[in-house]
Amino acid sequence: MSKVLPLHPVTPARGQPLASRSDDELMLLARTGVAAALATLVERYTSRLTNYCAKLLGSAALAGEVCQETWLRVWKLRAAYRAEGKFVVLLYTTAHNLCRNHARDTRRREHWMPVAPADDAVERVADERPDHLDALVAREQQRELHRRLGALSEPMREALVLRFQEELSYEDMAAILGASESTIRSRVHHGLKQLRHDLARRDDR
Amino acid sequence: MSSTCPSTDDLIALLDGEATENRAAEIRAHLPRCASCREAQASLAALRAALAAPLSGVPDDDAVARILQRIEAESSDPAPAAPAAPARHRRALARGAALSGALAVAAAAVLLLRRPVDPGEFTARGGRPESSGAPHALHREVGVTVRRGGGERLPPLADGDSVTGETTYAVSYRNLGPSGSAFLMVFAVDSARVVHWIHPAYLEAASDPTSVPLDHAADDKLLPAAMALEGPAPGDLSVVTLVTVRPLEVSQIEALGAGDLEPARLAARFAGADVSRIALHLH
Repeated sequence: MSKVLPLHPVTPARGQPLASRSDDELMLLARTGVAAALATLVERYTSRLTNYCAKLLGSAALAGEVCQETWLRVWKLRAAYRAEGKFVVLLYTTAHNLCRNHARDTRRREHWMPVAPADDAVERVADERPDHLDALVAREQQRELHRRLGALSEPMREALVLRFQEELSYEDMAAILGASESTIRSRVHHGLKQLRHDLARRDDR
Repeated sequence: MSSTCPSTDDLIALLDGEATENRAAEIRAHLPRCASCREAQASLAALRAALAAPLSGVPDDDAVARILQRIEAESSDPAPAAPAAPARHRRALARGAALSGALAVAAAAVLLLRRPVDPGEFTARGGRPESSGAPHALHREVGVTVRRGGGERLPPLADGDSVTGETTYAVSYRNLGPSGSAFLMVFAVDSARVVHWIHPAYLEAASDPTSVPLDHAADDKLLPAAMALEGPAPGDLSVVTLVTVRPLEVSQIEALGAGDLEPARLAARFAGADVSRIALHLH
């Protein structure tokens, strides 16, 4: 048996199960051939990452493809990975670039669609129980929000999702989006105001 | 709303954790007194929560399994042929190839300098003759250096060096062959003949990790973590590096008797392998 330590002396984490280990440690372990370490990382981030891609692209199916491609690229970059506590920046930068490529290549922005699933047979049944009606209203509100989110500019949409879904710092967001922190802070604030304004205008109609 | 009410920008800054301490305190003091601002604050908070909410059915249940399968499939594919690489990379490869003769000599020199025992022991131990072609001439293509970890400099370890039970071990390598053409194991054997794994990491008894695939690296490249040995017995400590053309599993080494862990025996057992040993003393 062996014990893994950082190359240079930082706080070592010994004897922890994989699920408790940091992203950096898992990447280091994945590089040394511990397959379960990569699986732990994939499980840790795939739900968030796919949601991020889906909200950017407006397509759950496309988000799944981009998410797969993102992990593949991260895996191929493992040898060059520097354990500096910035795995999330690598992951989201890769996903962000792939999403942008998809959006540009196929002009998907014009075809942006809300990603909530389509109505199914259950909903078409005239079920008027209050809890069911509440659920339908909430879902319609969510769908409308994503419709409005899709109508925002791409930089605003990216900034809002990274900030409020991923809860990333402005420093990490600047590294991912390739813009200054002040620019991204402005995108978040203006995006939120724009969304609130658009939704209020719809409610007034 | 009155003239003393915070602006929408103020409310957003508070929600976003970006308001200064003083301004945040002022806004929080104002909110209980102003229904209009409370309503505005609540609507912004609801909007933030909606943005954060995961989408229904995203991702589907099989997403993680599909990703891992795809990575596994790609990992087992042979390295892409040079023509598939972008032109910029093709030029880099061509330049690398032109330099490879000189680099091979340099790498071989590193390996020979580090060899701890009679070089004669290593000259004809199952490796293919040099004329049989470069792909399997590991001793010419791969150089491995075991280093003392835990500091900024990571100095190489050499025969006769003293170590303690707290010493950590880092490993670097050069591989003039293509990525995936060579696989590395590094382990220590203490005076009680117990094997301590350095690479691959062997963290869970139920696992059976395989050798570390070596990327093409014309310059010395560090493996990403330093390793500590668990309770090594004091006395002589051998650190063995084993480079093979195919991946090995930890269990294949663990199954060997103490005598079979000698470099010459390992080289005879694993065809084409290149084996080296550093003799240390553990206090």
